[in-house]
Amino acid sequence: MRGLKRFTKFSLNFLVLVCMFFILSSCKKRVEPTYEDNKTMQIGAWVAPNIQKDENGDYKYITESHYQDIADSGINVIYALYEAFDFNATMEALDMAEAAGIGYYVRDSSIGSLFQDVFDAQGEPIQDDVDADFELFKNRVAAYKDHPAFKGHLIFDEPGAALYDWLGLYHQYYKEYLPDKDFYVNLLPTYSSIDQRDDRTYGEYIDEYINKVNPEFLSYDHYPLMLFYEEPVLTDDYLFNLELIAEKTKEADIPFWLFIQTIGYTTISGTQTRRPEEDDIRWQVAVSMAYGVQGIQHFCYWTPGGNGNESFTTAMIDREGNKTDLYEAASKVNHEVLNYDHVYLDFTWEGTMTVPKGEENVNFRMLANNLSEHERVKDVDVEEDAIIGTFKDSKGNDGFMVVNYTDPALDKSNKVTITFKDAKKAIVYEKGFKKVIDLKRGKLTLNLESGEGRFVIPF
Amino acid sequence: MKKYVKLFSSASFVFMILLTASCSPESSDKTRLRIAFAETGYGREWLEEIAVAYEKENPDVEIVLDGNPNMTANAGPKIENGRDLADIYFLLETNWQLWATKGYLEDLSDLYQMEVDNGKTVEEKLIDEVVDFGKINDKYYALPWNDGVTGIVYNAGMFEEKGWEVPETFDELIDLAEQIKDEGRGIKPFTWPGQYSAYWNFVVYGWWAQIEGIEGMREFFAFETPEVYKQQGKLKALEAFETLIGDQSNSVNGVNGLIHTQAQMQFANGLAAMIPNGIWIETETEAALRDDFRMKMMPLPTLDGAVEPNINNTMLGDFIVVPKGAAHKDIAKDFLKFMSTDEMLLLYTEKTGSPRPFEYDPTQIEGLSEFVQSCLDIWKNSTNFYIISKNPMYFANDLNTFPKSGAPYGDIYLGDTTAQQVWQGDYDYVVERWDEFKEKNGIED
Repeated sequence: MRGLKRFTKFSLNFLVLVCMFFILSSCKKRVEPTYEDNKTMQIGAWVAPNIQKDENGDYKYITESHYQDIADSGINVIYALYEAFDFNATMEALDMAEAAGIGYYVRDSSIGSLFQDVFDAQGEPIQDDVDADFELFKNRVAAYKDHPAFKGHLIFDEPGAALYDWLGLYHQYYKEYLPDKDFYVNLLPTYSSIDQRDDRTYGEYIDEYINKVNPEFLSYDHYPLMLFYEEPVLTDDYLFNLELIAEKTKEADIPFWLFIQTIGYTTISGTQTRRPEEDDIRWQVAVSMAYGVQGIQHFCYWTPGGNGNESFTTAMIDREGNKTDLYEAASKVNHEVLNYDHVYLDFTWEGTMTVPKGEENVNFRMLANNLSEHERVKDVDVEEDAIIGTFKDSKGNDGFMVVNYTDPALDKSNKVTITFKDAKKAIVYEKGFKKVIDLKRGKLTLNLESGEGRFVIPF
Repeated sequence: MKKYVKLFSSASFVFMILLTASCSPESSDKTRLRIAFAETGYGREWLEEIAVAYEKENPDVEIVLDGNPNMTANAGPKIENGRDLADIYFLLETNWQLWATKGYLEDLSDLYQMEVDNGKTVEEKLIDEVVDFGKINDKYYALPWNDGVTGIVYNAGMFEEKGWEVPETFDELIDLAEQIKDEGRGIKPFTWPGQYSAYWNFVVYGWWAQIEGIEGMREFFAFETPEVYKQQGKLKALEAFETLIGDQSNSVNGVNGLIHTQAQMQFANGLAAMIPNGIWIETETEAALRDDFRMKMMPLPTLDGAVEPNINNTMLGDFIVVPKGAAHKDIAKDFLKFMSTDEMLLLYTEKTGSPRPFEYDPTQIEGLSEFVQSCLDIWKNSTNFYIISKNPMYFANDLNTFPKSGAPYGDIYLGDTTAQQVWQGDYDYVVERWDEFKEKNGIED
């Protein structure tokens, strides 16, 4: 009997202790997550200032002032185009990039075809030929390999898969000699034709690139802002492309970079894209961030010339070197991202929720693995279609990139209300600026402007 | 009693469901046939009217149209990944042959054997030259969409007013260009879209076919040997272009910066007397044309040494396919059979101004414009040239007409290259890569 009493007493004490523990732990202070500012988003741009010369034989546009404009816009790496056949222009551009404090991808025709003709009939590399090309490579890049602005080489744009054996071999030797430089290759979008991809499905095209070239990052382009006669439309497969790339690069544990349409163009086959505005640029950046993009790249900085099959509007800088309205627009968006890139880059993408309003968006219909719920989210209410990228940071905190998924050209705002589980506050990055918002019963309301996305960290 | 209440409640529930179902819109009972189409110069009225006619004959089918100028690019990811598929796609020229070999497309061989009208099958009704257009490995996977007429369009009102004769030979065309510059008070012989200089393919391919004949062109597009790139017809056609357009005074100033709509506006505004273009130009520029503007397509002026002087370059390439994963493949085929009847073919031409590559006589249609009539006369009275290749190196775009140079016209116009250099360059390019292309595409000797 005494034993029973003692046991009862012990049990009661234990119960009280357990209750105390739960009461105390539920009262724990919610600590606002903090992030060290030690990460920077790659903001690249296609087409460096062109190589035209003035009457004195000096480069008209490869100047300190033009390169300072690039840096001021928030672009931190500029990609060569016209310099491929002009060594002096390359060296001048590197100096100007250094002065402006940005990186520069060299396009060098003298190394463009190295390692291509080193394969035997069975597709095996012939070592003597490889060694000879490797020596040539080292000699040709010697002049600039230690230049402070030299960040890597623009090796190939939109290759077919038949070139992957070559690119894989080239990459291997490239890294042996230039281990900290970028071997930059940009891949095709989902709307490329199957012959452009050398008879591969898009999934095969990406898998084979990752397996054969073994890249440190994957860059691709997809220009979503179209025109249907005078009416704006989006490509049907913008999200499909993002989902596929985000999943495959996550599996391979490499980051992906995406081009942002900062120009309009039309093609002879009838494709009409529109010249974007500020909210179009912000929207592309936000949507790609909702899929975990780790580098954005503008197409284009300098306005390129056309060819027999396509024609371009002006880009951020026109052909005569003048800033256009898109310079201001893209700069604004770049700086918004750079304000909190160290926070965003601490997070790892986990998946993306689609939240349709009414009849399902054609872009949503093409997805296979879009999330419909998240353990931290109790409820989402939207006025218009929205997407929500879901992330976890290095300490296990949840992050959400909430984006108004309406065509920015339609100028529709979108009130999104999210009810979080287990959250009293949320950090919200709104156009790059941080706010800490108190939540009532976990509820956060975001009035998203056209093209806008906000990064949210509930705690 | 409780049991009866429960039973009554259940019965009421069932009744409510039936009542609700009977109040649903009629369309919910119908099979929805989704048709996606490249909505370009031909508009959408043709398809809307054919859809209405089909629905009238098939009241259990509702046709849903999805048109977009960018449909050819949009369709690729859907067909290749089986996502969000329409039942029928009408698309502009692209390499559908690879979709067929990959198994993404429905076999349409049974459609080709379906009887259309007067006891004729679809296959029998197609123009003989295009029957093989949709064939891969003895099966049919595509149906040709548009036939065409391309070449040189001229300002008929201006020609009549100035007393200029429509040239029948290339030499007469050169003389006419001089006459226009002399008498035209600033009017230039040509405007053209320098940004899309491939518009000159319409004319240059036609001249090439005049010299080589249809057999020669078939031989070229069979790509059995790189020596086809030594065809003299290609060189002579490029040289003719060089003579005509290499003389920059024959084009409107600044032509190199124009896109097609800008060039067409210059033509419509009388800045130039002629423009390289196709049968679709009237529909495409309709809104911008003055009421009194008159244009016609001229039969392609004949080059010296032509073995086939009367050539129309159709630029056939647009196509129709049914995805393997389509929800309503049988109805899709039935719709395509319906589109091949005389009545629907005539309706198509009436609404688009364009023929389809079937045996029928569109010139009988009343009320066609002077321009469309001139095109259809050429289509009916010429040897129509169709580009059809079954060579995998062509599907894969390794081989084409200008494999090295792309569209070389802008460079020739600017004097940056010559016809001879383009011709030789393409040959050298192909010879150097021939074995590689064959191996890549699985072609054995």
